[in-house]
Amino acid sequence: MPEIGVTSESVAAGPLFELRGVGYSYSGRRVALDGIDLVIRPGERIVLLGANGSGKSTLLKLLDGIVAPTSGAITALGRDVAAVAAGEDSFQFHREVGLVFQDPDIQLFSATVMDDVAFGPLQLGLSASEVGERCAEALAEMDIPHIADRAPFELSGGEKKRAAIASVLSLRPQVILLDEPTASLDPRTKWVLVDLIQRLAAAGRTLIVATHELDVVPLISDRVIVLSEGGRIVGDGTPDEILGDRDLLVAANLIHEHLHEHGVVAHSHPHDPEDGHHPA
Amino acid sequence: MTAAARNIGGRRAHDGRIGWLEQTVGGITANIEHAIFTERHARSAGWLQRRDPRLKVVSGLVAILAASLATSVVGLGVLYVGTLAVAAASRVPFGFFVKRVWLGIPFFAGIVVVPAIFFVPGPRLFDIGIGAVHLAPSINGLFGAILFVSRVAVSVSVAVLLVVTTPWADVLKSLRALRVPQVFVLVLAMTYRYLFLFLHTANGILLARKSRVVGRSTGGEQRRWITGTMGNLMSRAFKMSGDVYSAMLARGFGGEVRTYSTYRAGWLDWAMLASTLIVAVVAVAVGNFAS
Amino acid sequence: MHIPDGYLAPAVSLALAVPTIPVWAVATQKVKKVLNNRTVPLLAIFSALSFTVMMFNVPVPGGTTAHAVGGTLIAVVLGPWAAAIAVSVALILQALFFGDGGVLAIFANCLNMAIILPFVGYGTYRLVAAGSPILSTRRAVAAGIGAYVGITVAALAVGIELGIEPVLFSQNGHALYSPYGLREAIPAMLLAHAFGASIVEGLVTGLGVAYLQRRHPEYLTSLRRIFAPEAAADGVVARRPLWQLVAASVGAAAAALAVVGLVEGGGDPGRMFGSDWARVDWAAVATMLLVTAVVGLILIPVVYLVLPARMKRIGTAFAAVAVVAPLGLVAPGFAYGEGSTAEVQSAFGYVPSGMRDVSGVFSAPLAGYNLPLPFFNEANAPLWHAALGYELAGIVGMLVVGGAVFAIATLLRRGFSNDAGTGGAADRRSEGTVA
Repeated sequence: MPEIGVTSESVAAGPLFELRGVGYSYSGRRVALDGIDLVIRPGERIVLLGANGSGKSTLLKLLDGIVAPTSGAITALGRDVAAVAAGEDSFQFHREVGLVFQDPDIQLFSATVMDDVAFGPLQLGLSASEVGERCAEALAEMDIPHIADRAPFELSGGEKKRAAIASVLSLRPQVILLDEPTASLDPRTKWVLVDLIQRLAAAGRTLIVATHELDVVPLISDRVIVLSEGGRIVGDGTPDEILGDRDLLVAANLIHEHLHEHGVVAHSHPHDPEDGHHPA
Repeated sequence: MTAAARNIGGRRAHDGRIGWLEQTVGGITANIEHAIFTERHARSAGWLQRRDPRLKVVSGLVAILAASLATSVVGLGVLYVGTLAVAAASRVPFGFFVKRVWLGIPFFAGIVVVPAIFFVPGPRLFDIGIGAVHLAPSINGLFGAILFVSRVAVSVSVAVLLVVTTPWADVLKSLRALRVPQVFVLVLAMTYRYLFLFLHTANGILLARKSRVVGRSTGGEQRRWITGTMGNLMSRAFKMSGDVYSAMLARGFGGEVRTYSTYRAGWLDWAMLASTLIVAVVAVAVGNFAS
Repeated sequence: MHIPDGYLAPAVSLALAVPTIPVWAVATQKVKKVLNNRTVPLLAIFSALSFTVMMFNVPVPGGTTAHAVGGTLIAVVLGPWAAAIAVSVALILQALFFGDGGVLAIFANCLNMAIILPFVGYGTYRLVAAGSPILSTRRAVAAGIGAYVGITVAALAVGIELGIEPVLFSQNGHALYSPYGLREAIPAMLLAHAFGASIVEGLVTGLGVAYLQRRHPEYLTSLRRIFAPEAAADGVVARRPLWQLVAASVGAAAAALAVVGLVEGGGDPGRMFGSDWARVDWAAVATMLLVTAVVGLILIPVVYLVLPARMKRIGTAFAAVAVVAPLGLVAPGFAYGEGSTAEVQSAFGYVPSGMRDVSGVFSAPLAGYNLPLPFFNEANAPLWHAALGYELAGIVGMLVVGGAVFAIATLLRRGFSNDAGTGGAADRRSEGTVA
């Protein structure tokens, strides 16, 4: 696969993604993203932090080249994303960048897990044996070879998420975009997922994870970008810097302040899991 | 039984105590359970489960075609004994198999065909006169009815056997062997996959209604609610189809459909097809020579 | 309406693939051209929707439930070609996986429910809507009427497919496949649908379109452009006056009847529907029509006023049918199987001397009876006497059967439910509550 090698080398020098003044609004009405300037380098582990409706999912779809920005320009792996979204070079682009959708029911559209994991490699026109090999590898990395022949409707929530990630891994992308990977999972499954995400990063891939769950942030990132509810970037820094900035988190609606009355004295304080004031 | 009841043009007796809501929830749940049961069963280790799905589908079609062509009860009997033997070898629970087949469509077919027994002309089996009414089943009519019901039963047996021993995904990929276009196969697979999402959603909506309705509701209100629910499901369908399309794009879908399968037909598989063909020919021939 | 395997001869099952497969091919091309790659998920998800819609039991006036197919609704939104594929896929799934409808009968079932139904439904819808604005009430009504007509015509097709079996395939005097001939299968399918499933289909489609107009108008307006850019946009395009519609439908119905009549009469216009029209005494027929009209004018309003609210509409419909039934006397040999055996034999080759008894099974309360008094059934009594007799007999029969069913139902309910104080009727109306 010489063309992959060329692509990887060319991007190794410069940034992977470069966004300049990117905006996105749905059918000319609701503004999802506004004036985003962002540079992402290879090997970074990034968390996009934002409340519901802050445009995290939209940003991931832009980075994945399945929608084009309504204003500004995105360069990804040396390509213009608008052109990719229009169908140009979509094949080549999507073998490098994979998006795991928030809803695994959307992502898993085939009759069995195996068919789903094989879907991507088949689009590349690989031989049956190579498709089989890639699928086995992706399933093994997610610890789910045992559910390969199962239908998606038979799976538990955690199994669905893992199958969804495997379906992207089989393309062997260098960048993986994850949309709310730990949302609506029970606590045990959630930490299993966090482990798997750490494993993905350890293999040298660039990870961009959208989430609103503060407790997973330090475990899966070395850079945090905070989006406001108007779809603007309001913070960019290390996990420690961001999580330590209470005012920023309150402004982005990620934690909320509320009033406590202790007898006659009342005080307000931010509310988040790291705060010992409330049981978690 | 829903299958059978549905054949009479969608009308169903109303029991008064079991309303449309319970009927619908019951029907949906039965379908989901049926699917889960068959998927599990299709992966268990029986003789038929291990056969190449493509040849299995072809053999199934051959058997159903033979059932349709057979003109004697003996021929159909041969086919039925064949399905029972294969079912036993494939560890399909006997009670389930027999019940599923006979309590469904053939039972209904039996009811449909009963009046015909009395109206077909020709010699009578017996003739009991009750006033002006004569209860006189015709021999020809009876013969025709038995043939009809057995034919339906054998066809259903073969179809049930095929489905409970083959995972759905394999049935679909086998359709490729019958030259069904790739796009059709993909649409079928995806339909099957999203069907369960819709059934679960519909069940949730129905149960939510059930838990809240406490007063009397009129037929008109119920119909408006049902169409509202259908509209709601349709609008979800639109949104979902857009999302699924992006999910396909995100994995490099360019319009061309490819599927992955690693089937290999061994001598046992070809033996299955060959023996099905032999039994089929015998079943059809018996009828044509015996009568 | 799903035909299982074994009802149709394999020759018929496979012959029906001849019209079905090309329609699938054309539909796939048409849909692909408009949708490009979006076809797959959109069709798949709408097939799943169609399947789900088929699961819904809808209460019908009169206390039964029926289910809809949703073919016309999908045709109104996505166009008939897409609807053909979506419903076909749902039917194939039902046949292969849920045992609903036969495997060999797939072509027959798809032809009836996935091709005839949406195309007739959509055609009628376009005709009735006549270019009226997309969001007008007329569109919703048109969709409802289209759906009613679509599924009824599909039921007719099922009746024909089943009905030709004993004609074509019999051996030693017994039928090999479905044993009922055209004159039993067609009325049975039509009656069962016209008063049940068709009403549901019409209601669901009409109300469904009204719902979309109110809540998601974009699916009816902007989507239409994507799917069928050449179709009527939301503007007012060449309104077709109502009289043209009525004339067109009456004409079409007459043409269809003429074709059926000629086929039955073996191509001789004097023997339409296999009857000898020369034998009909037209003056007597006129008197009979007059008497029927008078009876109808008095009876139908009375029935409507007398019946309890719950069964007003269905009861009135049945009364109307009972009143109209004697018209069948005009066409001896067609309506209720009263033709001479020789005539039928020459037409079909296979003979059912007891056939009229079978048709009696299906139309028992309405026909085949007469009151045993000389006034009504004397050999040379005027035709209207007999008509009146039929009518009275029909009404009496309906009352008796209705009363018996009601009594049994009441008894059964008493037997099963020990809930003190729950009246039968009230119980039935509270079906939405947790039992």
